[in-house]
Amino acid sequence: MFAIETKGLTKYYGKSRGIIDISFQIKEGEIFGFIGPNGSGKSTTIRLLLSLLFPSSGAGKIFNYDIVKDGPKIKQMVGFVPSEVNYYEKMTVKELLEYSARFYKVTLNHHYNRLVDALDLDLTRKIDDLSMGNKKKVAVIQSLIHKPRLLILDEPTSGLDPLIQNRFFEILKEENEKGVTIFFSSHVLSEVEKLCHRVAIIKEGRIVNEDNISSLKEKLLYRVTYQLRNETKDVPLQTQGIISTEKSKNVTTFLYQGKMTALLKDLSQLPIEKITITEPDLEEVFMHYYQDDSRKEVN
Amino acid sequence: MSFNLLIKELRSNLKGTIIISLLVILYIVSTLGIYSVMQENMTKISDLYSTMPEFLMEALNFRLNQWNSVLGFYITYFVYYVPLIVGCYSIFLGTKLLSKEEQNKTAEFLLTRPVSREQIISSKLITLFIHVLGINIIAFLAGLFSCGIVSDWDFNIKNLTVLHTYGFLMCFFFGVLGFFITVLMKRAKAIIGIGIGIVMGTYFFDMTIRISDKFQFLLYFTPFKYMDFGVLSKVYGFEAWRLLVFIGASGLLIMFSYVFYRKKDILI
Repeated sequence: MFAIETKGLTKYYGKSRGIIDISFQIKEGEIFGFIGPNGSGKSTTIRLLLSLLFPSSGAGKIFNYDIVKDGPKIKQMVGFVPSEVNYYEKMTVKELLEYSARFYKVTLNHHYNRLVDALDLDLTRKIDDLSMGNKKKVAVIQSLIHKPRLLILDEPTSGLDPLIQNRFFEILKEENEKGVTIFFSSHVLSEVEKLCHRVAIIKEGRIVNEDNISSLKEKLLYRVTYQLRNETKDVPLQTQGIISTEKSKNVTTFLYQGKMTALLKDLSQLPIEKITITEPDLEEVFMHYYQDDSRKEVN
Repeated sequence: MSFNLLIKELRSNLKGTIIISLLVILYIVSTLGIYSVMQENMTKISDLYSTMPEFLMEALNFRLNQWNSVLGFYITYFVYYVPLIVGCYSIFLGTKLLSKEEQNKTAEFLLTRPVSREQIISSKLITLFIHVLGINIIAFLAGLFSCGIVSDWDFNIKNLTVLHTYGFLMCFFFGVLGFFITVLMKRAKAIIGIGIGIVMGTYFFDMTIRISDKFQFLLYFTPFKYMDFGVLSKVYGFEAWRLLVFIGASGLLIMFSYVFYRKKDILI
């Protein structure tokens, strides 16, 4: 039995495209990354899985329950962290968590206390007074208090500071070790890379690639910018995988796909004064990597 | 029905219901408070009102010949306190119950709990029913005691009960109508303006029917026409067809609300 299984899941909003022909399978216990730029259809897919929206065609199952017919049964087994947290503003954090727990008929026990401590959350504050990061913490706790079998996370780390992000990843790993399946939607490649076993890439409503994380890593792009010492003549690099080079005076910027050791060896031959290597944003990755491949679906 | 959701909804709408209840009590008590004063000066008041055009008297439901009885006086103003004030609040509450979840985007939280859409509709409609019933009971008690005190209990309590029951049914119909409208809306909004427009509009239809025979077709568009204001009649009581109109219309709107909400895309 799969934790999530979709077949040709399609959603149109009138004539506008939501998602088209989305098919994937996630095994129980897997951490599955779902990445794509903003507007690619990640949230639409999640909202279909959670029966907030209904498909135009295609089907989906969660633990063998139909996403259209069996919504309440599915939600008993699912924890959900939305990308943008909107809870009842007049409630305190504690009231909100108690309200949520009553739907699952669970009491707030030591499991809940441990989560509250780990994420350092003040239960007495009103939701309205919380920062975006603290609202995200509430979302994380409410998604876990009923011990779900599946966690659906829609850009869960936005708003969390790096320290809390690390604690959050630790919690996710612990939950996964207990057998919880995780569906992790994000537009940040590095966090998907850090956590997930397998990943699907969505662009313009279609899955353009589905792969395990080690294969994806080989395909990742890096943005490299280096500045040479004054009055030094730039020498072209010999490493394979350099694309889209831009030069301005003694500053050179390019995108690189390949093993970092090979590039660093080549760069070490140059009289470099300053160098930065960053992850380009996802839109840029897609623009270069998938521009000729946007309609291809790989299973 | 989700008991958890019902309790939360009953609590979160309590403030508005208390304010409207106090407003209705104040209106009923102050109106009937001047009744005894008016009764002593009925001749002067009749002379004053006799200068008003007859159609206007009819439109405003002013029947001076009924004012020698407390119920006759009460019925003149009843239409303002219950069907209009409480009706406007009911339709507002009906639109607010679902739309606030979509507008504040808390629908995402609610619909990702293990609760069916039918349970959500049931909980929200029961909330509407309890709040509208609560205000109407308070209005009835305010009317009962005010009429009793100013007339030494010389009036037909049964007729007052029947009148307020019709009033409740009409208010609940307005509430359910508002609820149904938000179910139909792609992105639900609290339609305060449209809600008040519907209640006032249908009241003006009723006024128009009363003053002109040419507009009788409007009776199909106003629930006011199906209320029985003839409290002074000796045979006044519940009429099956009137009850059927209110209960049937509300029942249909409730049924369609369940049908449409089951498949509604929640666009947040």
